[in-house]
Amino acid sequence: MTDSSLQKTTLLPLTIGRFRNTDGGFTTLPFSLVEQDRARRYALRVLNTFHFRTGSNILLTSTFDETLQFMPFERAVMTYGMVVVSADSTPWDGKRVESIARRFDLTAAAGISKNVVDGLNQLGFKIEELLSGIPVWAKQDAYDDLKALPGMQVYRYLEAGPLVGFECSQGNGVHIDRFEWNIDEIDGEIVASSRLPRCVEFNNFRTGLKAHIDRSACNCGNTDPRIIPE
Amino acid sequence: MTELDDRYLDPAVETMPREELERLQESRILQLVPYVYQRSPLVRELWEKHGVTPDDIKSLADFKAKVPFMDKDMIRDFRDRNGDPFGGLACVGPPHMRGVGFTSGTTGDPTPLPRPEDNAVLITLKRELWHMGMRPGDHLTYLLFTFREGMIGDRWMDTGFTPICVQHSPLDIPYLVQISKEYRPKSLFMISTPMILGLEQYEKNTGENIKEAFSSYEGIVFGGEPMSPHIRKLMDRWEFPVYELTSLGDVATATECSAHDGMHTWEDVALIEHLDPDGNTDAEDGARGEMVVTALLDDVAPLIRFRTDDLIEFTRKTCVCGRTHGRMKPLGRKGDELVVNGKSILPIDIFPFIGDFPETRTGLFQIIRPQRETETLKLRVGYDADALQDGEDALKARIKERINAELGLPSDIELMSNEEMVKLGPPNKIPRVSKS
Repeated sequence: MTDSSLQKTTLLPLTIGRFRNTDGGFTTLPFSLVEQDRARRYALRVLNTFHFRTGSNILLTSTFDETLQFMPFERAVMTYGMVVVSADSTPWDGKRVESIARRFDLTAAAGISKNVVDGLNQLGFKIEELLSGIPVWAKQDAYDDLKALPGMQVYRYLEAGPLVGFECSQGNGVHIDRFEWNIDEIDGEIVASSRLPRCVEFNNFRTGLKAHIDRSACNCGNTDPRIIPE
Repeated sequence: MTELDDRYLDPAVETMPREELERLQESRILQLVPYVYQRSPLVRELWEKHGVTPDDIKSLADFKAKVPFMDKDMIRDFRDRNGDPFGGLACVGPPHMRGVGFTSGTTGDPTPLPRPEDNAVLITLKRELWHMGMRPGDHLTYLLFTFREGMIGDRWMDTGFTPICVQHSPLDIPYLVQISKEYRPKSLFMISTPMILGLEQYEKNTGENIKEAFSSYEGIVFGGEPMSPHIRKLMDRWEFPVYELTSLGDVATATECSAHDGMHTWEDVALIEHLDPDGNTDAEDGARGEMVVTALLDDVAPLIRFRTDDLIEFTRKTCVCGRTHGRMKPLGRKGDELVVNGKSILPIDIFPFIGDFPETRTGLFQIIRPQRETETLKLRVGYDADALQDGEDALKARIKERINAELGLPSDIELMSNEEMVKLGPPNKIPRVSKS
C-alpha cells in the first residue's frame, strides 16, 4: 500500500436524536454506533435481571424521534432473543395498543406514557386490565398514576437530559451506566459528565432532575448507581 | 478502478435490462416457493386447497399461472380461525424474527408486519433519495409518520446518510424548523397534509420564513394520500422540490423520480403483477389494473401473489431517468369504487377540488358508500367553523354546486368539524370511504 492509498477520516454519527432541555425546548444530540452499542449493553444488563424467556413478546411504545431514548432498549430486547412489538406512544394509537395486548401474548411493556394511557381511556379501555401482572416500564409522566393501580407491576423508565435508564427487577431506583456517566447530586439536582469519547461530550451537565443517588450495590447484583427521583 | 455511474446508488440493479431483471425475479421466486410452502401455514393451506405444490413451479411463468392469489380477508380469516396474530404468514419465529410493525389500520384491525434484524425494504427509498441528490455525509430529515415499524434510525449506515429523527406531528413543527436551519439537510422523508397545514399555521403565528428555512432540501417526499390543490399551492410557494410516494402493497414504498412520471416499483424487491380489474388476466401496459405483489426479499412473512385491492396505472417502459423497473400511478382501492348513476367515483376524483373552499381547505372528506352503486354521491366533509363565510347550509350548497360542475353528479353533503373528522381514523390518515 502506498501512502496515497490511505486517508485518515473521522466517522460520521449514526443518527441524530434529541433530548428535552430544562426550559422545555430540545437539544439535538448526534450519537455514534459505538455509543449506541454501549447503551445497548447497559440495557441488556438491566433486562437480564428479569430472567425473561427468549422468544417472548415485549410491547414498546414510543415516538419516532426517541432514538436516543429507546433504540438501545429495543436492540437489547432483540439481542436477548425476544420480539419487540411496536406502537406509537400518542393518544391516537390506543386502538393499536389494545389490539396488540389482545392478540399477542405479552411478557412486558415499555415506554408507557400518559399519552398512551389517555389514548386507551378515550376508547374505553383500562390499562390495568390490558397490562396487568407483567412488568411495565412507565415514563415519568405516568409512573405515579400507574403505580397506584391495583394489579400493575410498574417500573421507572427515566429520561433526564442525555441520561436514559430504567429500573431492574428490584424496582428500587433507575440504574445509570457507571462506565458511560459520572453522576452527582448537587443541590438536590442530578448533574452528569460523560466518561468516554462521544459525538457530543458532557461536562457537569445540569439535568434539571431533582433526585438522589444510591451508590450501594443493588439486590439485583448490578453495581451501577441508582437514581431515585423525588 | 471501474467508475460507477454516480446518478444511481445501485447502477447495476437500477438499470438492469428487463430480460435480466426477469431472470433475477425467477431465481428469487424459485427459492421462495419451497420455502413458503414448507413454512407459511397460510400458504400451505391455500396451495393444498388449489392442488398446487412446489414441484409444479419450475419457472416465473408457472408461478404466475398456477399459484393461487391471497388477499387481506384470507389473512384475517386465518388469524381469527387459528388465533395467529400473523395470519399464517410467518415463516420463522424469534430470534430471526426480531420485531413486529403494523399496517396503518385504516380499514380494520392493524395487520402485523413481522421483520428480521435488518429490513431490505428500505433499499427502495435509499435509491430514490440518492437520485434526489443525497450523498454520503448528507443529513436526512427523517420524519416517518409512525414509530410502529420500530427504531430504524440506524438503517442508513450503508448509504452514509445521517438521519435526524423527528416526530411526525404538527406539534413538532418548531423542532422541524430548528433542525432544518441547524443541519441544512438535503432530503426530507416524508411530509403529509397535516404537517403542511401545521407549517402554514406556524408561518402565520411566528413570521418564520419557511422557504428560507427549507432551502437546503433538494428532495421532499410527500405521501399518505393524494395531494390537494391547496397543499400543492403552499408547497409551490415555498419552492419545495416535491416527490410523491405511495405504498407498494405493504411490501415496500414507491416514489417518483425527477421525471415525475409515475412511482418506481422496484421489481427486484417485489414481483408486480398488473391485472385486469374485472378478471385475472394481465392488463395492458399503461392501463388501469389491480396491483398484485409478491415480496422477493422477505424471509420472515412474505406476501405471495397478494391482491392489494389497489387500482393503479402501470407501465414497464424504461423511465427517462434511465431506470428500467416499472412505474405506477395510484388511483385508489378497488373496494372503494362507488358507481353513481353509472359513473365510477374514487377518492382521487374528490381530492382535486374539495379543499378549494376556505372552510374545507384541510381537504378532509369521506365518501359514504353503503353499497357499490347509488344514485346520489354522499359525502361527509370536514370544515373549520371559524372560517364559515355564510353559514353551513350555504357551504353545503356551494359544495354541491361544485360537485355537479366537476363530476356532473347529484350529491348529498354532511358537514362535520375538522376536529371530529380526524378522530375517524389513525394518526395522519382517515379512511376516505365509509359504509355509513
